[in-house]
Amino acid sequence: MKLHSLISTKALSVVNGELFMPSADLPEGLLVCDLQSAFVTHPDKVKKMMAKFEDTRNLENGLFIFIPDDLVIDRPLLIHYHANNPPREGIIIRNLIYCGKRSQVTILEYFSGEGDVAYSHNRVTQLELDEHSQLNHIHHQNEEDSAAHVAEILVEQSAHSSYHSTSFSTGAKSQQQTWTISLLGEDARCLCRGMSIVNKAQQSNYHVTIHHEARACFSDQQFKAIADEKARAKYTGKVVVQSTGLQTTAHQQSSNLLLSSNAEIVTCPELEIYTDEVKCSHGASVGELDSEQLFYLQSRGIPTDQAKEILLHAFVHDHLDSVSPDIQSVITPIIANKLSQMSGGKSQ
Amino acid sequence: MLKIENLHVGVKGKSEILQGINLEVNPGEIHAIMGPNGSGKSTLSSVLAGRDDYTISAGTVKFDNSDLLSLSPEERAIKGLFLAFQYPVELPGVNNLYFLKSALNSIRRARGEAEFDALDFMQFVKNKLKELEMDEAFLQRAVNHGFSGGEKKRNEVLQMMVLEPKLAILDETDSGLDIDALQAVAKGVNSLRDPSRSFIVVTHYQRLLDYIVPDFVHVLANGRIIKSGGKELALELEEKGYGWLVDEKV
Ligand SMILES: Nc1ncnc2c1ncn2[C@@H]1O[C@H](COP(=O)(O)OP(=O)(O)OP(=O)(O)O)[C@@H](O)[C@H]1O
Ligand SMILES: [Mg+2]
Repeated sequence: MKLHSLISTKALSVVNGELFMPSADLPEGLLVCDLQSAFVTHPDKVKKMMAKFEDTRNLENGLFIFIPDDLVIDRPLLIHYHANNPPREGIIIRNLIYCGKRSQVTILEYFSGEGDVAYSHNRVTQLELDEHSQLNHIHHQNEEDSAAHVAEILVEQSAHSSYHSTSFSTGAKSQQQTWTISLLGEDARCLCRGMSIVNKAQQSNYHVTIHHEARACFSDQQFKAIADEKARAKYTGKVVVQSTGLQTTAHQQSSNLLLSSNAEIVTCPELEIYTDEVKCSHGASVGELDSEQLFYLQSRGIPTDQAKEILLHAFVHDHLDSVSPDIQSVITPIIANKLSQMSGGKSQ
Repeated sequence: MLKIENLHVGVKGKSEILQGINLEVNPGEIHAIMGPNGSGKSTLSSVLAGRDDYTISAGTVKFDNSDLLSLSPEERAIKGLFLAFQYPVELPGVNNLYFLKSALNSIRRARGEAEFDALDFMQFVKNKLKELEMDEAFLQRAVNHGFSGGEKKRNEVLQMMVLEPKLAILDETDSGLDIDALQAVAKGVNSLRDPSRSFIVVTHYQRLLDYIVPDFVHVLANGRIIKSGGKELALELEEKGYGWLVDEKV
Protein backbone atom coordinates (compact mmCIF):
# COMPACT_ATOMS: atom_id res chain seq x y z
CA MET A 1 0.00 0.00 0.00
CA LYS A 2 1.45 3.29 -1.17
CA LEU A 3 0.21 5.18 1.83
CA HIS A 4 2.92 3.61 3.95
CA SER A 5 5.63 5.43 2.07
CA LEU A 6 4.72 8.60 3.93
CA ILE A 7 5.79 6.92 7.11
CA SER A 8 8.72 4.87 5.94
CA THR A 9 10.70 7.86 4.75
CA LYS A 10 10.68 9.36 8.21
CA ALA A 11 10.65 6.34 10.45
CA LEU A 12 12.88 3.76 11.97
CA SER A 13 11.96 0.54 10.32
CA VAL A 14 11.54 -2.88 11.80
CA VAL A 15 11.01 -5.51 9.13
CA ASN A 16 9.85 -8.95 10.21
CA GLY A 17 10.94 -8.02 13.69
CA GLU A 18 14.43 -6.97 12.72
CA LEU A 19 15.56 -3.40 13.32
CA PHE A 20 17.23 -1.52 10.52
CA MET A 21 19.21 1.33 11.92
CA PRO A 22 18.39 4.34 9.86
CA SER A 23 20.93 6.38 8.07
CA ALA A 24 18.54 9.18 8.90
CA ASP A 25 19.10 10.92 12.19
CA LEU A 26 17.24 10.06 15.34
CA PRO A 27 16.14 12.83 17.63
CA GLU A 28 19.28 13.76 19.54
CA GLY A 29 19.94 12.19 22.90
CA LEU A 30 17.63 9.25 22.31
CA LEU A 31 19.03 5.76 22.40
CA VAL A 32 17.43 3.14 20.20
CA CYS A 33 18.95 -0.28 19.61
CA ASP A 34 17.90 -3.88 19.21
CA LEU A 35 17.32 -5.94 22.28
CA GLN A 36 20.45 -8.03 21.82
CA SER A 37 22.72 -4.97 21.85
CA ALA A 38 20.87 -3.62 24.84
CA PHE A 39 21.75 -6.72 26.83
CA VAL A 40 25.34 -5.59 26.40
CA THR A 41 24.98 -1.83 26.82
CA HIS A 42 22.31 -1.68 29.55
CA PRO A 43 22.32 -5.15 31.11
CA ASP A 44 20.86 -4.14 34.48
CA LYS A 45 17.99 -2.10 33.12
CA VAL A 46 17.11 -4.70 30.53
CA LYS A 47 17.20 -7.65 32.90
CA LYS A 48 15.17 -5.81 35.50
CA MET A 49 12.49 -4.85 33.03
CA MET A 50 12.41 -8.28 31.40
CA ALA A 51 11.96 -9.95 34.76
CA LYS A 52 8.64 -8.20 35.17
CA PHE A 53 7.04 -10.04 32.32
CA GLU A 54 7.92 -13.64 31.74
CA ASP A 55 7.48 -14.86 28.24
CA THR A 56 8.56 -18.28 27.19
CA ARG A 57 8.49 -17.59 23.49
CA ASN A 58 11.47 -16.81 21.36
CA LEU A 59 12.30 -13.26 22.29
CA GLU A 60 15.33 -12.47 20.22
CA ASN A 61 13.78 -9.63 18.32
CA GLY A 62 12.84 -6.34 19.76
CA LEU A 63 13.76 -2.78 20.45
CA PHE A 64 15.21 -1.03 23.41
CA ILE A 65 14.44 2.67 23.64
CA PHE A 66 16.15 4.59 26.36
CA ILE A 67 15.15 8.16 27.03
CA PRO A 68 17.65 9.78 29.40
CA ASP A 69 16.62 12.02 32.30
CA ASP A 70 15.60 15.54 31.32
CA LEU A 71 15.49 14.84 27.60
CA VAL A 72 12.76 16.91 25.97
CA ILE A 73 12.21 16.48 22.26
CA ASP A 74 9.52 18.00 20.08
CA ARG A 75 10.12 15.85 17.05
CA PRO A 76 8.29 12.53 17.38
CA LEU A 77 10.08 9.22 17.09
CA LEU A 78 8.38 7.20 14.35
CA ILE A 79 8.74 3.44 14.24
CA HIS A 80 7.38 1.46 11.34
CA TYR A 81 6.95 -2.28 11.87
CA HIS A 82 6.46 -4.09 8.64
CA ALA A 83 5.77 -7.71 7.79
CA ASN A 84 7.15 -8.74 4.44
CA ASN A 85 6.33 -12.36 3.68
CA PRO A 86 7.26 -13.27 7.22
CA PRO A 87 7.80 -16.82 8.52
CA ARG A 88 4.73 -18.98 9.13
CA GLU A 89 5.25 -19.05 12.86
CA GLY A 90 4.84 -15.29 12.88
CA ILE A 91 6.83 -12.35 14.07
CA ILE A 92 7.49 -11.92 17.74
CA ILE A 93 8.77 -8.64 19.09
CA ARG A 94 9.72 -7.67 22.59
CA ASN A 95 10.10 -3.96 23.18
CA LEU A 96 11.35 -2.10 26.21
CA ILE A 97 10.89 1.62 26.54
CA TYR A 98 12.27 3.57 29.44
CA CYS A 99 11.41 7.24 29.99
CA GLY A 100 13.88 8.97 32.29
CA LYS A 101 12.93 11.51 34.93
CA ARG A 102 11.35 14.71 33.61
CA SER A 103 11.75 13.58 30.00
CA GLN A 104 9.12 14.49 27.40
CA VAL A 105 8.83 12.45 24.24
CA THR A 106 6.33 11.47 21.54
CA ILE A 107 6.47 8.07 19.87
CA LEU A 108 4.43 6.69 16.99
CA GLU A 109 4.42 2.94 16.35
CA TYR A 110 2.89 1.95 13.05
CA PHE A 111 2.19 -1.64 11.96
CA SER A 112 1.71 -2.84 8.41
CA GLY A 113 2.37 -5.80 6.19
CA GLU A 114 2.43 -7.15 2.65
CA GLY A 115 2.43 -10.47 0.80
CA ASP A 116 -0.21 -13.13 0.28
CA VAL A 117 0.39 -15.37 3.24
CA ALA A 118 -1.52 -14.97 6.43
CA TYR A 119 0.84 -13.91 9.19
CA SER A 120 0.82 -12.83 12.78
CA HIS A 121 2.49 -9.89 14.43
CA ASN A 122 2.96 -10.56 18.13
CA ARG A 123 4.46 -8.04 20.40
CA VAL A 124 5.08 -7.37 24.01
CA THR A 125 5.85 -3.78 24.82
CA GLN A 126 6.92 -2.76 28.28
CA LEU A 127 7.08 0.86 29.25
CA GLU A 128 8.49 2.42 32.33
CA LEU A 129 7.81 6.07 33.04
CA ASP A 130 10.05 7.50 35.70
CA GLU A 131 9.08 10.43 37.92
CA HIS A 132 7.75 13.54 36.20
CA SER A 133 8.23 12.05 32.74
CA GLN A 134 5.70 12.57 29.97
CA LEU A 135 5.17 10.17 27.12
CA ASN A 136 2.77 10.69 24.28
CA HIS A 137 2.39 7.31 22.67
CA ILE A 138 0.46 6.69 19.47
CA HIS A 139 -0.18 3.29 17.92
CA HIS A 140 -1.62 2.60 14.56
CA GLN A 141 -2.29 -1.00 13.67
CA ASN A 142 -2.91 -1.20 9.94
CA GLU A 143 -1.92 -4.78 9.11
CA GLU A 144 -2.93 -6.65 5.98
CA ASP A 145 -6.44 -8.12 5.84
CA SER A 146 -5.09 -11.61 6.45
CA ALA A 147 -3.05 -10.79 9.53
CA ALA A 148 -3.47 -11.47 13.20
CA HIS A 149 -2.12 -8.81 15.51
CA VAL A 150 -1.58 -9.66 19.14
CA ALA A 151 -0.21 -7.07 21.51
CA GLU A 152 0.51 -7.10 25.18
CA ILE A 153 1.34 -3.66 26.49
CA LEU A 154 2.49 -3.14 30.05
CA VAL A 155 2.99 0.30 31.49
CA GLU A 156 4.39 1.24 34.88
CA GLN A 157 4.16 4.83 35.98
CA SER A 158 6.08 6.51 38.78
CA ALA A 159 5.01 9.57 40.71
CA HIS A 160 3.91 12.64 38.72
CA SER A 161 4.41 10.91 35.39
CA SER A 162 1.97 11.39 32.57
CA TYR A 163 1.15 8.84 29.90
CA HIS A 164 -1.03 9.71 26.92
CA SER A 165 -1.80 6.81 24.69
CA THR A 166 -3.87 6.82 21.51
CA SER A 167 -4.30 3.58 19.63
CA PHE A 168 -5.91 3.32 16.19
CA SER A 169 -6.83 0.00 14.64
CA THR A 170 -7.82 -0.13 11.01
CA GLY A 171 -6.17 -3.33 9.80
CA ALA A 172 -5.77 -7.04 10.48
CA LYS A 173 -8.28 -9.85 10.29
CA SER A 174 -8.19 -10.04 14.02
CA GLN A 175 -6.44 -8.03 16.61
CA GLN A 176 -6.16 -8.38 20.34
CA GLN A 177 -4.55 -5.63 22.39
CA THR A 178 -4.20 -6.12 26.09
CA TRP A 179 -3.17 -3.10 28.06
CA THR A 180 -2.15 -3.15 31.69
CA ILE A 181 -1.28 0.18 33.17
CA SER A 182 -0.11 0.48 36.75
CA LEU A 183 -0.11 3.83 38.47
CA LEU A 184 2.50 3.19 41.12
CA GLY A 185 3.52 6.66 42.28
CA GLU A 186 1.32 9.46 43.52
CA ASP A 187 -0.22 11.90 41.07
CA ALA A 188 0.54 9.66 38.09
CA ARG A 189 -1.78 10.46 35.21
CA CYS A 190 -2.90 8.32 32.36
CA LEU A 191 -5.10 9.06 29.38
CA CYS A 192 -5.74 5.94 27.35
CA ARG A 193 -7.60 6.23 24.08
CA GLY A 194 -8.51 3.69 21.45
CA MET A 195 -10.30 3.65 18.14
CA SER A 196 -11.29 0.57 16.16
CA ILE A 197 -12.41 1.11 12.59
CA VAL A 198 -13.41 -2.27 11.23
CA ASN A 199 -15.40 -3.72 8.34
CA LYS A 200 -15.69 -7.00 6.37
CA ALA A 201 -15.13 -9.78 8.90
CA GLN A 202 -12.52 -7.94 10.96
CA GLN A 203 -12.36 -8.38 14.70
CA SER A 204 -10.82 -5.88 17.04
CA ASN A 205 -10.50 -6.36 20.73
CA TYR A 206 -9.13 -3.95 23.31
CA HIS A 207 -8.76 -5.11 26.85
CA VAL A 208 -7.57 -2.42 29.22
CA THR A 209 -6.86 -2.66 32.93
CA ILE A 210 -5.68 0.29 34.96
CA HIS A 211 -4.39 -0.34 38.46
CA HIS A 212 -4.56 2.60 40.83
CA GLU A 213 -2.04 1.76 43.50
CA ALA A 214 -0.94 5.18 44.75
CA ARG A 215 -2.79 8.22 46.00
CA ALA A 216 -4.18 11.05 43.88
CA CYS A 217 -3.74 9.30 40.56
CA PHE A 218 -5.89 10.04 37.55
CA SER A 219 -6.94 7.81 34.69
CA ASP A 220 -9.23 8.31 31.76
CA GLN A 221 -10.15 5.67 29.18
CA GLN A 222 -11.83 6.83 26.01
CA PHE A 223 -12.61 4.11 23.52
CA LYS A 224 -14.49 4.36 20.29
CA ALA A 225 -15.38 1.94 17.53
CA ILE A 226 -16.96 2.01 14.11
CA ALA A 227 -18.07 -1.40 12.87
CA ASP A 228 -19.49 -2.14 9.43
CA GLU A 229 -20.52 -5.29 7.54
CA LYS A 230 -19.81 -8.35 9.68
CA ALA A 231 -17.08 -6.83 11.80
CA ARG A 232 -16.89 -7.05 15.54
CA ALA A 233 -15.31 -4.58 17.95
CA LYS A 234 -14.97 -5.22 21.62
CA TYR A 235 -13.69 -3.09 24.45
CA THR A 236 -13.31 -4.20 28.03
CA GLY A 237 -12.17 -1.46 30.34
CA LYS A 238 -11.33 -2.26 33.88
CA VAL A 239 -10.29 -0.02 36.74
CA VAL A 240 -8.85 -1.55 39.88
CA VAL A 241 -8.41 0.78 42.83
CA GLN A 242 -6.29 -0.72 45.58
CA SER A 243 -6.63 0.29 49.21
CA THR A 244 -3.56 2.48 48.65
CA GLY A 245 -5.27 4.34 45.83
CA LEU A 246 -6.79 7.12 47.89
CA GLN A 247 -8.22 10.14 46.08
CA THR A 248 -8.37 8.24 42.83
CA THR A 249 -10.10 9.76 39.84
CA ALA A 250 -10.99 7.28 37.11
CA HIS A 251 -13.14 7.84 34.05
CA GLN A 252 -14.21 5.48 31.32
CA GLN A 253 -16.14 6.34 28.21
CA SER A 254 -17.00 4.22 25.25
CA SER A 255 -18.89 5.53 22.22
CA ASN A 256 -19.62 3.43 19.21
CA LEU A 257 -21.13 3.52 15.77
CA LEU A 258 -22.76 0.50 14.26
CA LEU A 259 -23.06 0.83 10.49
CA SER A 260 -24.62 -2.52 9.72
CA SER A 261 -27.06 -4.81 11.45
CA ASN A 262 -24.62 -7.69 10.98
CA ALA A 263 -21.79 -5.91 12.75
CA GLU A 264 -21.34 -6.24 16.47
CA ILE A 265 -20.05 -3.94 19.18
CA VAL A 266 -19.49 -5.10 22.71
CA THR A 267 -18.42 -2.83 25.50
CA CYS A 268 -17.92 -3.79 29.13
CA PRO A 269 -16.76 -1.39 31.80
CA GLU A 270 -15.64 -2.99 35.05
CA LEU A 271 -14.77 -1.48 38.40
CA GLU A 272 -13.03 -3.06 41.35
CA ILE A 273 -12.59 -0.73 44.29
CA TYR A 274 -10.94 -1.41 47.63
CA THR A 275 -11.13 2.05 49.13
CA ASP A 276 -13.78 4.72 49.72
CA GLU A 277 -12.15 7.87 48.55
CA VAL A 278 -12.63 7.58 44.81
CA LYS A 279 -14.27 9.48 42.00
CA CYS A 280 -15.23 7.17 39.17
CA SER A 281 -17.46 7.57 36.16
CA HIS A 282 -18.29 5.48 33.18
CA GLY A 283 -20.55 5.74 30.19
CA ALA A 284 -21.19 3.81 27.03
CA SER A 285 -23.22 4.37 23.92
CA VAL A 286 -23.83 2.42 20.76
CA GLY A 287 -25.71 4.06 17.94
CA GLU A 288 -26.09 4.50 14.24
CA LEU A 289 -25.23 7.56 12.23
CA ASP A 290 -27.57 10.34 13.30
CA SER A 291 -30.34 10.68 10.72
CA GLU A 292 -30.92 14.35 11.50
CA GLN A 293 -27.27 15.18 10.97
CA LEU A 294 -27.28 13.18 7.76
CA PHE A 295 -30.38 14.99 6.54
CA TYR A 296 -28.85 18.36 7.38
CA LEU A 297 -25.81 17.62 5.22
CA GLN A 298 -27.90 16.23 2.38
CA SER A 299 -30.22 19.22 2.45
CA ARG A 300 -27.15 21.30 1.66
CA GLY A 301 -26.53 19.35 -1.52
CA ILE A 302 -23.98 16.90 -0.18
CA PRO A 303 -24.51 13.38 -1.61
CA THR A 304 -25.40 10.64 0.87
CA ASP A 305 -22.09 8.78 0.70
CA GLN A 306 -20.08 11.94 1.21
CA ALA A 307 -22.40 13.02 4.02
CA LYS A 308 -21.81 9.69 5.78
CA GLU A 309 -18.08 10.04 5.29
CA ILE A 310 -18.14 13.53 6.82
CA LEU A 311 -19.94 12.17 9.88
CA LEU A 312 -17.50 9.28 10.23
CA HIS A 313 -14.60 11.71 10.13
CA ALA A 314 -16.35 13.80 12.76
CA PHE A 315 -16.64 10.73 14.95
CA VAL A 316 -12.92 10.03 14.68
CA HIS A 317 -12.04 13.68 14.97
CA ASP A 318 -11.30 14.16 18.67
CA HIS A 319 -8.98 11.16 18.86
CA LEU A 320 -7.14 12.19 15.74
CA ASP A 321 -7.03 15.81 16.77
CA SER A 322 -5.35 14.91 20.03
CA VAL A 323 -2.17 13.72 18.33
CA SER A 324 0.51 16.08 17.09
CA PRO A 325 0.27 17.53 13.56
CA ASP A 326 3.40 15.60 12.43
CA ILE A 327 1.72 12.35 13.28
CA GLN A 328 -1.67 13.39 12.03
CA SER A 329 -0.18 14.08 8.65
CA VAL A 330 1.00 10.46 8.39
CA ILE A 331 -1.97 8.58 9.73
CA THR A 332 -4.87 10.75 8.59
CA PRO A 333 -4.68 9.64 4.93
CA ILE A 334 -4.75 6.00 6.02
CA ILE A 335 -7.74 6.51 8.27
CA ALA A 336 -9.51 8.56 5.59
CA ASN A 337 -8.95 5.73 3.14
CA LYS A 338 -10.50 3.26 5.52
CA LEU A 339 -13.49 5.49 6.27
CA SER A 340 -14.18 6.00 2.58
CA GLN A 341 -14.60 2.20 2.27
CA MET A 342 -17.24 2.32 4.96
CA SER A 343 -19.47 5.13 3.75
CA GLY A 344 -20.31 3.66 0.37
CA GLY A 345 -23.68 2.46 1.63
CA LYS A 346 -22.96 -1.11 0.52
CA SER A 347 -24.03 -2.56 3.85
CA GLN A 348 -27.39 -2.59 5.63
CA MET B 1 -41.66 28.02 -9.38
CA LEU B 2 -43.33 26.06 -6.58
CA LYS B 3 -46.81 24.61 -6.75
CA ILE B 4 -48.23 22.61 -3.88
CA GLU B 5 -51.57 20.92 -4.46
CA ASN B 6 -53.76 19.16 -1.92
CA LEU B 7 -50.79 18.02 0.18
CA HIS B 8 -51.65 15.60 2.97
CA VAL B 9 -48.86 14.58 5.35
CA GLY B 10 -48.71 12.49 8.49
CA VAL B 11 -46.26 10.69 10.72
CA LYS B 12 -46.45 7.53 12.73
CA GLY B 13 -48.73 8.37 15.61
CA LYS B 14 -50.28 11.45 13.97
CA SER B 15 -51.79 10.59 10.65
CA GLU B 16 -52.91 14.05 9.49
CA ILE B 17 -50.55 16.91 10.25
CA LEU B 18 -51.07 18.62 6.92
CA GLN B 19 -54.60 18.26 5.62
CA GLY B 20 -54.64 19.53 2.09
CA ILE B 21 -52.19 22.37 1.54
CA ASN B 22 -52.43 24.43 -1.61
CA LEU B 23 -49.80 27.06 -2.28
CA GLU B 24 -48.26 28.59 -5.36
CA VAL B 25 -45.09 30.63 -5.26
CA ASN B 26 -43.97 32.48 -8.38
CA PRO B 27 -40.46 33.71 -9.16
CA GLY B 28 -39.50 36.81 -7.20
CA GLU B 29 -42.27 36.49 -4.62
CA ILE B 30 -42.00 36.47 -0.87
CA HIS B 31 -44.63 34.47 1.00
CA ALA B 32 -44.97 34.65 4.75
CA ILE B 33 -46.55 31.76 6.62
CA MET B 34 -47.86 32.41 10.10
CA GLY B 35 -49.92 30.24 12.39
CA PRO B 36 -50.28 28.79 15.87
CA ASN B 37 -47.73 26.44 17.42
CA GLY B 38 -48.12 22.91 16.20
CA SER B 39 -50.13 23.89 13.14
CA GLY B 40 -47.72 22.18 10.71
CA LYS B 41 -45.42 24.95 9.48
CA SER B 42 -42.18 23.06 10.17
CA THR B 43 -43.70 19.86 8.85
CA LEU B 44 -44.43 21.59 5.57
CA SER B 45 -40.90 23.02 5.44
CA SER B 46 -39.30 19.64 6.19
CA VAL B 47 -41.40 17.79 3.65
CA LEU B 48 -40.40 20.30 1.00
CA ALA B 49 -36.72 19.84 1.91
CA GLY B 50 -37.05 16.06 1.66
CA ARG B 51 -37.13 14.72 5.19
CA ASP B 52 -38.28 11.14 4.91
CA ASP B 53 -39.86 10.45 8.30
CA TYR B 54 -43.18 11.75 6.99
CA THR B 55 -45.80 9.87 5.04
CA ILE B 56 -47.32 11.75 2.19
CA SER B 57 -50.77 10.32 1.71
CA ALA B 58 -51.95 12.63 -1.06
CA GLY B 59 -50.99 15.65 -3.10
CA THR B 60 -48.30 16.85 -5.47
CA VAL B 61 -45.51 19.37 -5.34
CA LYS B 62 -44.02 20.81 -8.50
CA PHE B 63 -40.74 22.68 -8.34
CA ASP B 64 -39.63 24.22 -11.61
CA ASN B 65 -41.76 21.66 -13.43
CA SER B 66 -40.18 18.65 -11.77
CA ASP B 67 -41.91 16.40 -9.26
CA LEU B 68 -40.23 17.62 -6.08
CA LEU B 69 -41.43 14.75 -3.90
CA SER B 70 -39.61 12.17 -5.99
CA LEU B 71 -36.22 13.84 -5.50
CA SER B 72 -33.66 13.14 -2.79
CA PRO B 73 -32.80 15.99 -0.40
CA GLU B 74 -29.49 16.60 -2.16
CA GLU B 75 -31.18 16.70 -5.58
CA ARG B 76 -33.58 19.31 -4.25
CA ALA B 77 -30.64 21.42 -3.04
CA ILE B 78 -29.01 21.05 -6.43
CA LYS B 79 -32.22 22.26 -8.06
CA GLY B 80 -32.02 25.35 -5.87
CA LEU B 81 -34.16 24.65 -2.83
CA PHE B 82 -32.89 25.66 0.59
CA LEU B 83 -34.34 25.30 4.07
CA ALA B 84 -33.09 27.35 7.01
CA PHE B 85 -34.02 25.02 9.85
CA GLN B 86 -36.02 26.09 12.89
CA TYR B 87 -33.67 23.96 14.99
CA PRO B 88 -30.35 23.59 13.16
CA VAL B 89 -28.49 20.46 14.28
CA GLU B 90 -25.01 20.57 15.69
CA LEU B 91 -22.24 18.75 13.87
CA PRO B 92 -19.40 18.35 16.38
CA GLY B 93 -16.13 17.59 14.64
CA VAL B 94 -17.23 19.06 11.29
CA ASN B 95 -15.45 22.29 10.50
CA ASN B 96 -17.84 25.03 9.39
CA LEU B 97 -15.65 26.32 6.58
CA TYR B 98 -15.12 22.81 5.24
CA PHE B 99 -18.85 22.16 5.45
CA LEU B 100 -19.77 25.32 3.55
CA LYS B 101 -17.22 24.62 0.86
CA SER B 102 -18.26 20.96 0.51
CA ALA B 103 -21.89 21.98 0.17
CA LEU B 104 -21.27 24.65 -2.45
CA ASN B 105 -18.84 22.50 -4.42
CA SER B 106 -21.15 19.45 -4.34
CA ILE B 107 -23.89 21.57 -5.83
CA ARG B 108 -21.62 23.16 -8.41
CA ARG B 109 -20.18 19.80 -9.39
CA ALA B 110 -23.66 18.33 -9.84
CA ARG B 111 -24.61 21.29 -12.01
CA GLY B 112 -21.48 20.91 -14.12
CA GLU B 113 -20.04 24.20 -12.87
CA ALA B 114 -16.42 24.78 -11.88
CA GLU B 115 -15.65 24.12 -8.21
CA PHE B 116 -14.18 26.79 -5.96
CA ASP B 117 -10.62 26.30 -4.79
CA ALA B 118 -9.77 26.95 -1.15
CA LEU B 119 -8.51 30.49 -1.65
CA ASP B 120 -11.32 31.75 -3.85
CA PHE B 121 -13.86 30.20 -1.54
CA MET B 122 -12.30 31.86 1.48
CA GLN B 123 -12.60 35.26 -0.16
CA PHE B 124 -16.17 34.55 -1.24
CA VAL B 125 -17.30 33.41 2.20
CA LYS B 126 -15.56 36.26 4.00
CA ASN B 127 -17.58 38.75 2.01
CA LYS B 128 -20.78 36.99 3.03
CA LEU B 129 -19.72 37.03 6.67
CA LYS B 130 -19.19 40.75 6.47
CA GLU B 131 -22.68 41.31 5.13
CA LEU B 132 -24.07 39.35 8.05
CA GLU B 133 -21.73 40.99 10.55
CA MET B 134 -20.49 37.59 11.61
CA ASP B 135 -17.06 37.04 13.09
CA GLU B 136 -14.63 35.05 10.94
CA ALA B 137 -13.96 32.83 13.95
CA PHE B 138 -17.22 31.03 13.15
CA LEU B 139 -15.59 29.52 10.09
CA GLN B 140 -13.10 27.55 12.18
CA ARG B 141 -15.63 26.20 14.64
CA ALA B 142 -17.59 22.98 14.31
CA VAL B 143 -20.93 23.51 12.54
CA ASN B 144 -23.39 24.99 15.07
CA HIS B 145 -21.56 23.22 17.88
CA GLY B 146 -21.91 25.32 21.01
CA PHE B 147 -23.37 28.18 18.97
CA SER B 148 -25.96 30.29 20.79
CA GLY B 149 -29.50 30.13 19.47
CA GLY B 150 -29.09 33.37 17.54
CA GLU B 151 -25.69 32.36 16.18
CA LYS B 152 -27.18 29.16 14.77
CA LYS B 153 -29.83 31.17 12.97
CA ARG B 154 -27.22 33.46 11.51
CA ASN B 155 -25.22 30.46 10.41
CA GLU B 156 -28.29 29.21 8.53
CA VAL B 157 -28.52 32.53 6.73
CA LEU B 158 -24.80 32.36 5.97
CA GLN B 159 -25.36 28.97 4.31
CA MET B 160 -28.22 30.43 2.32
CA MET B 161 -26.05 33.28 1.13
CA VAL B 162 -23.27 30.91 0.13
CA LEU B 163 -25.57 28.53 -1.74
CA GLU B 164 -27.68 31.27 -3.37
CA PRO B 165 -30.82 29.14 -3.76
CA LYS B 166 -33.74 29.82 -6.09
CA LEU B 167 -36.26 29.14 -3.37
CA ALA B 168 -35.35 29.69 0.27
CA ILE B 169 -37.61 28.56 3.09
CA LEU B 170 -36.82 30.29 6.37
CA ASP B 171 -38.40 28.44 9.28
CA GLU B 172 -38.57 30.90 12.17
CA THR B 173 -35.14 32.23 11.36
CA ASP B 174 -36.08 35.37 13.29
CA SER B 175 -36.92 33.58 16.56
CA GLY B 176 -34.34 34.24 19.22
CA LEU B 177 -32.54 36.96 17.30
CA ASP B 178 -31.64 40.25 18.90
CA ILE B 179 -32.57 43.46 17.07
CA ASP B 180 -29.18 43.85 15.40
CA ALA B 181 -29.07 40.23 14.31
CA LEU B 182 -32.59 40.53 12.94
CA GLN B 183 -31.53 43.47 10.82
CA ALA B 184 -28.40 41.70 9.65
CA VAL B 185 -30.41 38.65 8.67
CA ALA B 186 -32.98 40.77 6.88
CA LYS B 187 -30.17 42.57 5.07
CA GLY B 188 -28.81 39.20 3.99
CA VAL B 189 -32.18 38.07 2.69
CA ASN B 190 -32.83 41.37 0.93
CA SER B 191 -29.41 41.27 -0.72
CA LEU B 192 -30.49 38.03 -2.37
CA ARG B 193 -33.81 39.43 -3.58
CA ASP B 194 -34.05 38.98 -7.26
CA PRO B 195 -36.89 38.68 -9.80
CA SER B 196 -36.02 35.00 -10.24
CA ARG B 197 -35.62 34.12 -6.56
CA SER B 198 -38.41 33.37 -4.09
CA PHE B 199 -38.77 33.07 -0.36
CA ILE B 200 -41.12 31.37 2.05
CA VAL B 201 -40.75 33.00 5.44
CA VAL B 202 -42.25 31.20 8.42
CA THR B 203 -42.57 33.52 11.38
CA HIS B 204 -44.55 34.27 14.50
CA TYR B 205 -43.71 37.96 14.50
CA GLN B 206 -45.02 40.72 12.35
CA ARG B 207 -41.79 42.63 13.15
CA LEU B 208 -39.71 40.55 10.74
CA LEU B 209 -42.09 41.49 7.94
CA ASP B 210 -41.20 45.15 8.42
CA TYR B 211 -37.73 44.24 7.24
CA ILE B 212 -38.57 41.48 4.79
CA VAL B 213 -41.72 42.76 3.15
CA PRO B 214 -43.89 39.88 1.91
CA ASP B 215 -46.12 39.86 -1.13
CA PHE B 216 -48.47 37.39 0.53
CA VAL B 217 -49.26 36.31 4.05
CA HIS B 218 -50.85 32.91 4.75
CA VAL B 219 -52.30 31.57 7.95
CA LEU B 220 -51.68 27.89 8.56
CA ALA B 221 -53.86 26.33 11.26
CA ASN B 222 -54.60 22.67 11.93
CA GLY B 223 -52.76 21.62 8.81
CA ARG B 224 -54.63 23.91 6.42
CA ILE B 225 -54.11 27.35 4.99
CA ILE B 226 -57.21 29.03 6.33
CA LYS B 227 -56.57 32.54 5.15
CA SER B 228 -54.34 34.34 2.69
CA GLY B 229 -53.87 38.03 2.14
CA GLY B 230 -51.41 40.84 1.60
CA LYS B 231 -48.93 42.15 4.15
CA GLU B 232 -51.75 43.92 6.06
CA LEU B 233 -52.94 40.49 7.20
CA ALA B 234 -49.84 40.19 9.38
CA LEU B 235 -50.74 43.42 11.16
CA GLU B 236 -54.27 42.24 11.68
CA LEU B 237 -53.00 38.94 13.15
CA GLU B 238 -50.65 40.80 15.43
CA GLU B 239 -53.60 42.73 16.78
CA LYS B 240 -56.26 40.02 16.98
CA GLY B 241 -54.37 36.73 17.28
CA TYR B 242 -55.62 33.61 15.54
CA GLY B 243 -58.80 32.95 17.48
CA TRP B 244 -61.20 34.81 15.19
CA LEU B 245 -59.92 32.93 12.13
CA VAL B 246 -60.00 29.51 13.67
CA ASP B 247 -63.51 30.12 15.06
CA GLU B 248 -64.69 31.51 11.74
CA LYS B 249 -63.55 28.34 10.09
CA VAL B 250 -65.40 26.08 12.50
N1 LIG C 1 -42.22 13.03 14.26
C1 LIG C 1 -43.37 13.41 14.82
N2 LIG C 1 -44.05 12.56 15.62
C2 LIG C 1 -45.22 12.94 16.20
N3 LIG C 1 -45.78 14.14 16.02
C3 LIG C 1 -45.15 15.01 15.22
C4 LIG C 1 -43.92 14.71 14.58
N4 LIG C 1 -43.54 15.76 13.85
C5 LIG C 1 -44.48 16.70 14.04
N5 LIG C 1 -45.46 16.25 14.86
C6 LIG C 1 -46.63 17.00 15.32
O1 LIG C 1 -47.20 17.65 14.22
C7 LIG C 1 -47.67 18.92 14.60
C8 LIG C 1 -47.09 20.00 13.72
O2 LIG C 1 -45.72 20.21 14.09
P1 LIG C 1 -44.83 21.34 13.43
O3 LIG C 1 -43.47 21.22 13.98
O4 LIG C 1 -44.97 21.25 11.96
O5 LIG C 1 -45.53 22.66 13.97
P2 LIG C 1 -45.15 24.19 13.75
O6 LIG C 1 -46.31 24.80 13.08
O7 LIG C 1 -43.86 24.31 13.08
O8 LIG C 1 -45.07 24.71 15.23
P3 LIG C 1 -44.12 25.83 15.94
O9 LIG C 1 -44.73 27.15 15.64
O10 LIG C 1 -44.23 25.51 17.38
O11 LIG C 1 -42.75 25.67 15.39
C9 LIG C 1 -47.38 19.08 16.07
O12 LIG C 1 -48.53 18.73 16.81
C10 LIG C 1 -46.27 18.08 16.30
O13 LIG C 1 -46.28 17.60 17.61
MG1 LIG D 1 -42.04 25.01 13.65
